[in-house]
Formats: sequence, C-alpha cells, structure tokens
Amino acid sequence: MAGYIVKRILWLIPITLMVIIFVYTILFFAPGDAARVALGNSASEEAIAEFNAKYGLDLGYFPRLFNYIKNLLHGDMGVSYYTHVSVSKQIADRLPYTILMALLATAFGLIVGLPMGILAATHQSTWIDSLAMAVTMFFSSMPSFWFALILVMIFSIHLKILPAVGYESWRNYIMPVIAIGLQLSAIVARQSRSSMLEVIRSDYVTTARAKGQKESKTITDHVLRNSMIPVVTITGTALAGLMGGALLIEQIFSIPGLGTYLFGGIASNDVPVVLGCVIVIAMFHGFLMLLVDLVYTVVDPRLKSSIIAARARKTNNRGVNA
Amino acid sequence: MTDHAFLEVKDLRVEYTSDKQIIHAVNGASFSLEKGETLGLVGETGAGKTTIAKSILRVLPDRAASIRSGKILYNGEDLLSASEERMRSIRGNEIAMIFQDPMTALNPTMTVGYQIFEAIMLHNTCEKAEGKARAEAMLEKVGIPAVRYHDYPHQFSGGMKQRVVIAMALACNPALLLSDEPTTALDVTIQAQVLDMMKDLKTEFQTSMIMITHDLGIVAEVCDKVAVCYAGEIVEYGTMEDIFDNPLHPYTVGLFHSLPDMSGKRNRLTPIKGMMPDPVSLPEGCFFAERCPYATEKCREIHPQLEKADGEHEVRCFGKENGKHG
Repeated sequence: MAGYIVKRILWLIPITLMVIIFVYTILFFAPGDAARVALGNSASEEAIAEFNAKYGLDLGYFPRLFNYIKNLLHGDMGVSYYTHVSVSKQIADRLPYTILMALLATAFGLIVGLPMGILAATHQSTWIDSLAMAVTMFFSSMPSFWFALILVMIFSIHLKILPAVGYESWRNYIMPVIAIGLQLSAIVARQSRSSMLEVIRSDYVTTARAKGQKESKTITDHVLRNSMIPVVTITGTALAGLMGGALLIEQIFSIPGLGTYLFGGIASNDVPVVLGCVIVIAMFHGFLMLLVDLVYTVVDPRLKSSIIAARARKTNNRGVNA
Repeated sequence: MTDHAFLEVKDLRVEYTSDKQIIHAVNGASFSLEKGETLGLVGETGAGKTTIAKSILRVLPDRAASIRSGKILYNGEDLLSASEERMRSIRGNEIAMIFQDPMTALNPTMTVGYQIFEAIMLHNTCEKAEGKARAEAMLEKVGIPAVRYHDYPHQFSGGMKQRVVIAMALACNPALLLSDEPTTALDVTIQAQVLDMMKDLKTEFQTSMIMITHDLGIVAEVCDKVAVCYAGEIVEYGTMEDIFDNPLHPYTVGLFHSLPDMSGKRNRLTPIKGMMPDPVSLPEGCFFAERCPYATEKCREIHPQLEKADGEHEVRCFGKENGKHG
C-alpha cells in the first residue's frame, strides 16, 4: 500500500509538468501584450522594451519556458508583472481562505446532503422522498452566486445579522459556505439516494433483515457503507474543484481567495500569476484524487485487495522477465 | 403433544406489483411441517418457492410485494399478524434462512466473522468476547479455520461463502431452517460436500427444514416430505416415498421424466412441453392444463382443489379419479 501511495505521488511530477507546458503554450500564443497592459497605451517604445527585457519577455518560446521551469525548481514562481509582488507569497497568503471555504462548503454539503439522501431512499416514493428530490432539484439548478445574493439580501440587508463583505471573522464565512455548499448538498443527496436504493435491493440486505437486524441498523451498518463509493467520488471531485477558488463567491463577499487572483492574472496576461495558480490547483487535484482512491480502499476492502494483487502481479512478472 | 402443527402455511397468496401489472406469485399455497422433519419444496424457476420462504420470515421487498391473504402458523402463532418486533426476535433466532446465491448473500464490506457475530449478538445477551468465540466455533463447525474470522467475503470461494452463510443461519440454533436452493450456485463436487454438511448439522442441531430446490436428487437425499409447487400453488404433497414411488400429478410425473435415467433404459430426456402460465393472467381452470397430456374440458374450466389421495398423499388433479397417469 505504501508503495502505491509513493508511486501515485511521484506521478504528480510529470502531470504537473504537462499542465505547465500546456498552460504556458496557451498563454504564449494568446493575443495581448503584457507590457501594454502594465504600462498603459501612452508608454514609450523604450519603456516597453525595458519592461520586456526586465521580465524576459523578449525571449522566444523555449528559453522562456526553460527559464520558468528552472526558477520553479529553485522554488521561485516569479513576480507579478503589475504588482511586482512574489507569486508564491500571494498564493500562500490567499490559499488559507480558499482551503477554508472549500473544506467548510464540502462539510456543509455532506452534513446537509447525506441525511437528505438517506431519508429520501428509506422513504422511497413517499412525500418525504418527493419533497427531498424537489428541494435538491431546486438547489442543484440554481447557481451559487444567486444563492449568495439572496442570502446577502436576507441576512445582511434586511435582518442585518451577518456581514456582507470581509474575511476577518468566522461570521464572514457563513453565507459564502452556504451559497457554495447548497449545490453540493443537492448533488450528494441525489447520488446517495440512488446508490442506496440500489444497495437496499441487494441480497445481503435481505440477509441482514433475515438475521433479525433492526431496520435502522440495517441501513446504517449494511446499506450506508456499501453505497458510499459514488458519494466519495463526487465529494472528492467537488472539493478539488473548489480548491481552484470560487471566483464569483469571492467577488461577492470580497474574500481574497485563489479564484480572484487567478482570474486577475488571466485577464491581464500575467503569465507568472496564472502558471503559479495552475500549478497549485493541479497539485491539489492530484493529492485529492489520491485521497479519494485511498478512501475507497477504506470503504470497500475489495478495492484494497485488488490494488495489492495488481502490485504483486507486476512484481512477479518483473521477476519472470528478468 | 399439542394439537397444532409445528409450521402450517394456509392458503397463502402473495402478489408483486410492477408497472401497474399484478403478478400472482403465490396462489393459495398450503402445507404443513412437523418438528424435526425436512420438507422439500420442489418446482421450476418462478413457481413461487422463494416467495413462500420469504413470506414465512416476512422479508419480502416492502414496496413491490404484498401478502394478500393466508395464515402462517408457527407453533400456533400467526406470523403474518405478529408485530414487527416479534418478527425480529424470530428471524435468525427461531427461523433462519439460507439464501440461494452465496456470492451476493454476504455483505462485501464486513468480515465474515462479524456477520456471524452480528447474528449471535442480536439474539443473545452475552459479552462480546463470548459472541466472538461462538462465531469462531460456528466457522470451525462448517469447516472454515477460525483464523479466517477477519477475512472478507471476496477472499473466499463460492463453496466457502455458502458455508459462511450456513454458519450464520445456524448460529442461533434455529428451530426451523429455510434453505433456498443452497447448492444451486455451487459446483457439483462442492454441492455434495455442502449438502452432507447440512445434513450433519441438521441432525446435530435437530433443526426442522424446508428445502427449496428444483433438484429431485437433493430431495431424495434429504427430505421426509415433498410439496410440489407449480405456478404458486402446491399441486402434490406427500411423503418422499409417496412422491417418488407413486407420483400422481402429471406435472410431478413430468419432472421425473425430465431427469436423466442412469439405468440406461431411456436415451432421451422427455421435457415437459410448454411454459408455466404467465403469472400476470392465470388461466381459469387447472394451471397445468395447457401442458398436460391428459387435460379434459373440465380441467380447462374448473380449478381443481388439493385433495387427499391416500394417507398423507394429496394431489390437485381431477385425473386421480380416473386412476394413475403416467
């Protein structure tokens, strides 16, 4: 198992490199002149040349890529063309807000979504099920920024109990987390309902009932765990997605997360900023997908056995070939 | 002695509803079982055998199935009107069930030991350590080393899984065991092993048993009584000797004809022509009339009742008046 984890982590290196090259290439050929954006239209030719020389923008495709990767290996992500602030410092400053929001929103999604899904599945085709499905349909079809605006309207403008903007106190996070989490809770509820319904019909659940197990314990002990794999998948994917920052929500609540930083970088052709963000997002994605796979093996012992068996097979084959 | 049978199923009717169609799975099945006896419930796929067994434990799927009428008297107590709480104390404790497919009957995310332990702890007030010791003892009893307590079902072969299922069913020493084709999903060589083991354990625990099967060989080996099931009703009932030596219903006769004859007198098998009637729209008369070589006008119009032939031997056929078929 440890070997599997190490291998998966090492795989992140080529994946991240590919992502860098891909994004760099797009930015290189994208229209727009960083110097013009930075210095303004009235800037003199000399000033522009000086700017380009300072940031190495006068070099070709390969030297620039090479320089970037070389600096990256020294832990240097460069500085923003406009603010001249170190990209790694900016990311380090903003990342905690993004991580905090992503984790809280995911937790909210699970805490609200799972019970809804369980209730709906155990009360299939009753009014509880219909109500839960109607609510989740609504939650999943409305965009999170709409919820954000409605929440601000209710809690900040009318009731005046929650701050509309800012990031200093925990009270600032209530509305953004709910706005993002509602949608996730809807997806979790629908997924857990459908996979539970599948498991409820399976033979081993009848076996559990035939043993004399209580209906509630049958659900918690036998049904839940066996229906969690798809829920783990979508939760992991959603969390990974949120690690890229939630641009609109950050904008609405003025939270200095990764989303607004990345968007600013893209809008102004600020190559080091975009690349820096993309690297961090790619790494998070890789780690979270690994985490999801590890959670699978905890949920379902069959998967753990198959990983171990696959590795054993490989080692044996290597022995034969050598 | 008490005046009521150990288990008596009376006029059981079960329906499934799907896509607004009503499927008549069990149509007035009646039979009884004395303590210590093994009853073979024989019939082809779809005859309603499993539904009858699941009705006894009341573990039919809630939404799809409904028990329309009938009584299931267990020591005189009607299980169909018992409270859910009472049923829970019976399930797994007094009446246990072995399911057909060991591949799907065990929870894939729980160790096999825990699944036996669970059954023990549900019906006994004992320390966890004692429960675990008893679960290990049950594993040993079905021929699985106790060290495999912490293994998961996918680490066992089909035959071993069925042994685990049997250990789970016998863990609380039930008075009645419902075995739903316990060997159908297994290889022939493993079938014999599992069957032998079940016979031994049944004797050891003095369990009464309903053996659901379509295999007359198994019936001959383990059963005292036989009930032949067709389209959700019992068409013939009697002792093993009655059924094997003197089958009266044309369907029972047909079942024997479709078995290979080891004496080599017959070269070809004689299958029963046609199919069981569609359980959505059952015929008015005898359910077997369409396939019966002796069917008369009367058979197609009037539904026959299960009537005494001789001794305990009962048959649902007008033909018995005309003497033996076959």
